[in-house]
Amino acid sequence: MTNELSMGQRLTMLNVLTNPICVQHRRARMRWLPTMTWALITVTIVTFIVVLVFLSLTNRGIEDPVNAAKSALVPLIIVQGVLLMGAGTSAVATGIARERDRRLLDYHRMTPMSPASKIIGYLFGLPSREYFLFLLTLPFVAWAVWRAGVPLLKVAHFYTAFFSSVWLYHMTGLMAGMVSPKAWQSSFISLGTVAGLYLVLPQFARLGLSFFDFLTVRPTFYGMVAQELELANPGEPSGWITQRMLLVNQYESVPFFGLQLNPTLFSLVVQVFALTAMYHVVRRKWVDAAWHPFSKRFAVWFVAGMTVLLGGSLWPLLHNVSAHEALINRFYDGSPAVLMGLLVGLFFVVSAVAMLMSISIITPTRNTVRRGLRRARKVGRPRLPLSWDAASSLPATMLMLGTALGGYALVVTAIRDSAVYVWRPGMGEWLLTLAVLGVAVTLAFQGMHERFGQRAVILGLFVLWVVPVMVSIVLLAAFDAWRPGMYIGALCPAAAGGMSLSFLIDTAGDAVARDRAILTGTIADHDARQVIRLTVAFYVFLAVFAQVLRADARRRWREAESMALGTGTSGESAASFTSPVSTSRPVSPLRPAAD
Amino acid sequence: MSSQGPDILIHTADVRVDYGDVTAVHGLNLDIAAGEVYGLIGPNGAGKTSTIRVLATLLEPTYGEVAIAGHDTATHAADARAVLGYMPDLAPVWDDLKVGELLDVFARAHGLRHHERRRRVDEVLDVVSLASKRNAMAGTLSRGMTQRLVLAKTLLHRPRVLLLDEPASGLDPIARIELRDLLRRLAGEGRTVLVSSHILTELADFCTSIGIMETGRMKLAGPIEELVESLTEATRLIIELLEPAAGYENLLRETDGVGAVVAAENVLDLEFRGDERAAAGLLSDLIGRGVPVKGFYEKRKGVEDIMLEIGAKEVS
Repeated sequence: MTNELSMGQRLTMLNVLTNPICVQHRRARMRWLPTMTWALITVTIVTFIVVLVFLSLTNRGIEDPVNAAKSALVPLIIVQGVLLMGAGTSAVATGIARERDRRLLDYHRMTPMSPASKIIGYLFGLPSREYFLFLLTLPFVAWAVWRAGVPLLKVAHFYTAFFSSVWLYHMTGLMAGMVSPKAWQSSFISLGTVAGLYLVLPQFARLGLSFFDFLTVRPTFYGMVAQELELANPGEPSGWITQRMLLVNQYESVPFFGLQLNPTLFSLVVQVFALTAMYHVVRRKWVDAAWHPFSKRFAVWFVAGMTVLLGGSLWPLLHNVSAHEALINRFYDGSPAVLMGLLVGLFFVVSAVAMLMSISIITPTRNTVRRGLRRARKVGRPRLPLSWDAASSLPATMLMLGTALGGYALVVTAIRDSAVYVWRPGMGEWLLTLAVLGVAVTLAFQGMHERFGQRAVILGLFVLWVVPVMVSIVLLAAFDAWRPGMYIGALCPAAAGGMSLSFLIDTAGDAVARDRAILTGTIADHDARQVIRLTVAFYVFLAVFAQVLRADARRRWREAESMALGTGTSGESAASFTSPVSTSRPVSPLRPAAD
Repeated sequence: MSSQGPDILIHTADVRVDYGDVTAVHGLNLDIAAGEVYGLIGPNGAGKTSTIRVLATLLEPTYGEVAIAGHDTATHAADARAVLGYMPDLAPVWDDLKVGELLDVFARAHGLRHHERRRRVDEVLDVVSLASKRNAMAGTLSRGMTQRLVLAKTLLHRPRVLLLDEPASGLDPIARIELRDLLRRLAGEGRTVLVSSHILTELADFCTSIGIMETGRMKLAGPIEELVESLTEATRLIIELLEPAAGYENLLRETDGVGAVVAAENVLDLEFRGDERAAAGLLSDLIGRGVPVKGFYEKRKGVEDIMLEIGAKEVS
């Protein structure tokens, strides 16, 4: 036994039938007894559903066989969703977390399989049993589809979006398991991410950001399939499904910039975007657990992608009368100017979250910088390449800001050229104020993060963003001290941004959303303007200060590493060992450590 | 390829590992040749596991160079992994897989085809004496058997370098003897084995060389015999008598070459400066003076004595 099998050869194993990790989990999760038990339970439940719904509706003469079969389809799809989206996601998240916790992932890290093969292995191997149980439900679904006469093209549309959602959910579980700092946190992070992505974010659809809703299978279901399942008298909203259809019939097409997109296509675009981001994270963590979840390039692409989706969703709402009115009729009964303020605010919130999260991910710690400098020296690079994890995140931040500002310019253009709003002098001032505040806060955040690290930044955010608002609330509630309360509270950029938005709304023609205190004359209007200017000035100063600190710190780190590397040692000396059987090097003398 | 010679399979130069502000490994220099069984000894927190994870390409060092069989791990990690076998501390396994299934999965992961896969699995099961457990669930194996199963998995791709983190921890005496014999056999096949432990006696029996780590620093390193000799200024002699030893303490202290003497019951434990011939002369002299000598031994220093001398007292 002397020869190794492969010398650095990468093995690509994307076939789920032969992929070793798939084989491993298929064996472990599909032992005969537990699998047959679950198969029996599943088949019994779906049989019960089909027989109960179909026979009870037809035997009592409530529905004809076609409509009875349609009625059986929805609960069958719910069972499939529970199996793959619920149990399957849970199997992936807990499985990968358990393997990471027990350090079993290291075994696979050491094998020559390519990262893509490992990801495919876990993605399709861990939920093996759930896929098998899903297969068992298919004959029942096929029968119901045939009996109900649902066009196969619609079914194909639905299952395309269904599996796209399933893989997105599973990838979410896999990502949470790979990135959580502590393995025990994986299941919480996984649950939180799934809930956030697929329950909380879709709520933004009510404000017009429809792409968040397309992270789920709902739009395709309601847009493509639900119509086919409508009960006997289309005019009578007799069932719960019909009620839901009336509520969400906007999914027949999706307005995106000037286009009307098919919901399945839009689902695929949004889900492939999210899947790509998660695959990128998981792949990097497979290659090296110490790497940042995002590369610098990908962070820029991610923010650019989010900006396109944001801009594309907001554009028709701000620009077209029909889309704007549709949104107002559905969800909102306030004035158009307030809605405009909300949409602009939404753009800022979502962009800020995407950018600050990305900056937080790609900003190196001092330790990462140290490793990067060492590696650069090893490979003969005079400077750290910008794309390396150890490089400063400032250039990537500038690019992200550039793309976000591009998107913002699009939003401003949509408002200026809108058929809904009249462009008034003064609106530009507040839109510009918001942009300057956003840029300053982002650069301050990046500089402080790189200079002082994540913990210090979290503490700083708490002190600058949360505490002032708390103090302000106390001053307002307990002492009726409006003026100091406003000055202190505006240290939080969200408060200053909110005030700017209220001026924007006011300028656009509404006075309803302005602060009650201003309207009742408690404080002067110019005080509010003064507060906003002070806040913007403060964050501009903070951004410059943070960037100076950041640049100075990096210079000192470089110098410190150059000195350490220049001496050819890490500054430590200790005993060394050279095998006496070596013929190539002299046996080093034994020497105790020089402490 | 790094600059070290062709038979050096593990090479580290000035390796340092930092976790934030904590330095786990300071300036580690190793050159370990083929066929060597190198024991890395140190208390918990000494930096052994960090060192092994760096060698296994699972942890990037903050500073320094690491090469496995000439492959720089910073630039050619995949090449290094191809010749590495790594067995982590506690050696976890998938409890819900059978022994044969687990090995088959990793044989597949190394790209072995059907017949070769089966042959190789049989081969490693024989090596670790687990052939009879092929169809047992891995979760039902004893601790020793689990360690052997992971070792079998580690051997599947015939690695030239084995990195074993605390492989003997928790094993009963028989299992330790089996492990020792197995590691000797693997080293005899030309592999380099680096094995860590915080229990000295686990390694002393079969390592050709050892390195003693404490708080991230290599306190002392070298072949065991050389270490013993380098730290031995005086030979310790044990003299067993037929009667209480207390009465003979002064007699020995007056003898040339004898240093400190400790008497306990029928045994005299003394420091003696001199070679084997001088020791034989001492024995002859004692018998000539009528001392009732029952036994006369030279006590060699062991790894524990070395540890105590260099001050690594935390090691159990």
